[in-house]
Amino acid sequence: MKVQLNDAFFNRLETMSLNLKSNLRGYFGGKHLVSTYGQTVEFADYREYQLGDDIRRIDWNLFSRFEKYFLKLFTDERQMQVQIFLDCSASMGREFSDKASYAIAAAAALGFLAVQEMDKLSLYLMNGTSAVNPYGLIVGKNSFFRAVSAFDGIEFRDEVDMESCITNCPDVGDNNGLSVIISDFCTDQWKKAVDFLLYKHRQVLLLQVLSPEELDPTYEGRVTLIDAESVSPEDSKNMKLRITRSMLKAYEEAMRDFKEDIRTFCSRRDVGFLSVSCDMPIERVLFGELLKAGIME
Amino acid sequence: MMKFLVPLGLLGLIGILVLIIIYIIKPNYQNKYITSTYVWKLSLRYKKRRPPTSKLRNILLFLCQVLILTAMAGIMAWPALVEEPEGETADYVYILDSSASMYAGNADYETRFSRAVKQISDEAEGVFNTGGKVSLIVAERESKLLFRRVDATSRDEFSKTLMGLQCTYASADIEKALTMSRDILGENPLAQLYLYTDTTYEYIPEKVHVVNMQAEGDWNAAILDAEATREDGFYVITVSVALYGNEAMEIPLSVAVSGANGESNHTIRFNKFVLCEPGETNTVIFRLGGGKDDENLFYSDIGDLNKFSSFTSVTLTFEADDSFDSDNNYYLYGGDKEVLNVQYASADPNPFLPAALYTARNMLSSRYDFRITEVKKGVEPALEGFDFYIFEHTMPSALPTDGFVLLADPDPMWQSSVPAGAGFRVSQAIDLNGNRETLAEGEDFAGHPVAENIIADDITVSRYCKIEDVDPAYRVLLSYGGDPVYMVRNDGAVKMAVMGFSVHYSNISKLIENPLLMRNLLDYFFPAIVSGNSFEVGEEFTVNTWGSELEFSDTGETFTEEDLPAQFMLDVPGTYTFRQRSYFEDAVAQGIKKEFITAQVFISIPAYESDILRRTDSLSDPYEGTETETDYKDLLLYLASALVAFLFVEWWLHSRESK
Repeated sequence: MKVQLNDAFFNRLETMSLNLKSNLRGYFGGKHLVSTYGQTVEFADYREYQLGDDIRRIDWNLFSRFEKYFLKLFTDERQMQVQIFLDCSASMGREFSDKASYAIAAAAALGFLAVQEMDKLSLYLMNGTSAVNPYGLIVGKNSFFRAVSAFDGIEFRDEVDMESCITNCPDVGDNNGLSVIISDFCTDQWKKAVDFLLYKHRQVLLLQVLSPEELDPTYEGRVTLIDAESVSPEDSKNMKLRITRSMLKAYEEAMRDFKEDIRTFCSRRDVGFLSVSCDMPIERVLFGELLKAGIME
Repeated sequence: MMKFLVPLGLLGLIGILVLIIIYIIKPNYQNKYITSTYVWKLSLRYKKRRPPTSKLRNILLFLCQVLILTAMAGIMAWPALVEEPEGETADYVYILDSSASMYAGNADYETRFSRAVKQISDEAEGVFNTGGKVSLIVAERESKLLFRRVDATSRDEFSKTLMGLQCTYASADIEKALTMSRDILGENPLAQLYLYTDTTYEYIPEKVHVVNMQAEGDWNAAILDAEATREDGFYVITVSVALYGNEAMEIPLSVAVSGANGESNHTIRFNKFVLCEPGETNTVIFRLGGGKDDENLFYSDIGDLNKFSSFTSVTLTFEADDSFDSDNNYYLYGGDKEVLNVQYASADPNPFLPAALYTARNMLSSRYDFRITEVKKGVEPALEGFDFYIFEHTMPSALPTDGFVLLADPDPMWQSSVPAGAGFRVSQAIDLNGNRETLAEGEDFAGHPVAENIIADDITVSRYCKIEDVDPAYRVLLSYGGDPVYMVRNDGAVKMAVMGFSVHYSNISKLIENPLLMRNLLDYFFPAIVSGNSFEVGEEFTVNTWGSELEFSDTGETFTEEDLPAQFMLDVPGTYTFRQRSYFEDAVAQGIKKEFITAQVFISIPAYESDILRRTDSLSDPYEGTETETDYKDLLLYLASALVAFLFVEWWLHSRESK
């Protein structure tokens, strides 16, 4: 399913926003309410006056009633940095453009939500052992749409080492926003990458994009499965199989456990996880699954 | 026993080959490009560990397909169970090869024949003890059925007959013996046939049991053939020898010439060591001056002292201590030819009759030594002392009584008359006025030996003698206008021929008929006593006589002229003598003629029998055509059922394959 990144697509996202955790520190400014107290007009709490506090914030009505000094505290609003790590390995694209376009659309949608909230957006393309950000730091819709117009040039090739890509990323930040990893996670190195992001106190969301054929293979008989990331027919990634009903059943179980393993890993670390099939309408993912998961509001 | 009624149907088995080729060229795996094999690799851990049924299933599938093809080919070949005809199994037919080579002996001096007899005796005894039946056929030149399906009641007679059998020196007609066994096998197709022989057969019919009597170490050095021919007035001895079995070896070949050069007590001896290779025939030539040896050809120079122009006998000996000694000696006879004295007397000597005489002499030179006396004009010819008298133009005053007489042209113009006792008279000479008239065949022309190869129409005459009052003993061979012009008489001691025309008034002098008539006359009146000097056992030869009777010296049997010519055949190798008694008793009494003329022949064993290790291609099947009662039980239904079952199993295995 090819997703068109046009005005109609982004218009539908106007009413949505990312629901980030309040304990993030973020940057000054922005629209995200955080648990720290700040200068907004929205009342948060009271506390007793302490030496050095600004006396302009003493609530005199309370003083008249309790003859003690209390300060009136207000919530703070912060600007976050949203980082999207897009898996650009061959398994996400090359022969399978639906999967790639779906991943790009998801990245674009999440990015739009970020810039709409006045957050900083960084879109990293992971390939090999490095993650590059060809679009720079995106702030505001103008720069966002400029970046979107360049999305057609994204290449999906080779393998990706997520651990190296993310740990070597020069601008991961610390406790300052959301990191989204969009991939099929058909690799073993992603867990350390997630742990690294959590170590950096980032809010993490994993978005797994799978093709319908991966979820429900239709082929059978004697086949040589050629991995999109293999470099030669003799590559160890390729495998010869005689696909029978029992084999398909085993695959089904393996896929279920594979996703369950990711989900368990994520739930233990308070990491958001969403697995989608690219034949699922993107609107349903954005307005259904992400809302349900509390990533969006 | 199962049999395929349409064996060509088995060509369907080629399908199995095709199946194997299909399996070989069948693409095993098809490429499928997918995003990642990550989950597939994980899934391997989830796959239930089952016994390797898929491999077993594949093998079963292939096996099933092979069986299906086999069943189909089997159906096409129409298999049927052969139901054997009923009969007794304890029924044995023994064929005993009695050919000469069965005389070959082993180290214990037992011949193959005696060993075969003993084995048959033992076997037959066992058969009799079990209540079975035995038949015995002896394969000789003329095979004989001695016993036909006899049981134990004939045990003694069988044993006595068997033990009394003698091996022959001839070749055996095994095929005839097998043919004789067909009658017995026709009665009981289950009868078992045993052939005791010393011939190795490359192909032996399935049911025939051949007991080969050859023994290890058997070998034979043989003289296969020999002949004496004249070359430049002296004899050359040519001998064919061979070695069978054993290794290449030098074997001495000795020659002893008795009665050489007319000296009855003189014997010349010489020999030659012949290098023999097994299985090869060598020719050895003993001649004055020798010759250049070639492959399998050896010359031996007998030397100037040993040359000989006549002999009484030549004894050849191949000195080898081999397994078979019947062919180690060979004898040659006929080296001392009988002398025939011929007298030619003519009132007008001409070259034509003598020319015919000399030509005939050359033709018969291998048989007789002609000594021709030409009587000069004006000299009175002799009337005794010759074997053949020719009187031309002028007739003798009396007929000679000790030889054959030819009266040519008894024309009255020569002022002589036919002698008394000639059996005819000449009334006149008839001149045909220069016309050359063709002669006709006389009433006795057809089939008469003197008329052999003569064409009467070719001979013309312009003058002839009118012969009348002809004795009925004469046979008229040529005639003109019903008058005899050429006739012969062979009436006991009276042996005459009459030519009733002159060579001067005929074209016969330039025709082949001239020497032919002379040759035929001589052959008729002086036939060969024996048609050769060497024969093989069982080989037919002709004996004849030009005397009053012929005596076969070895049996004392006597043949008169009426019994001859006769065909002769001898069964035992060796030297035999035929003796002819002269007609002319008076001449014998006067010492002018010999009373007896003898001829010797040597009978050898057949050269074929010398190969005591011989191999032959095949043996005919005596059982062929004896199984007329054979029934066939069709197996198509069973094969069809099996085919359906295999197809079902194939379908079932296929249905299990995708699970």
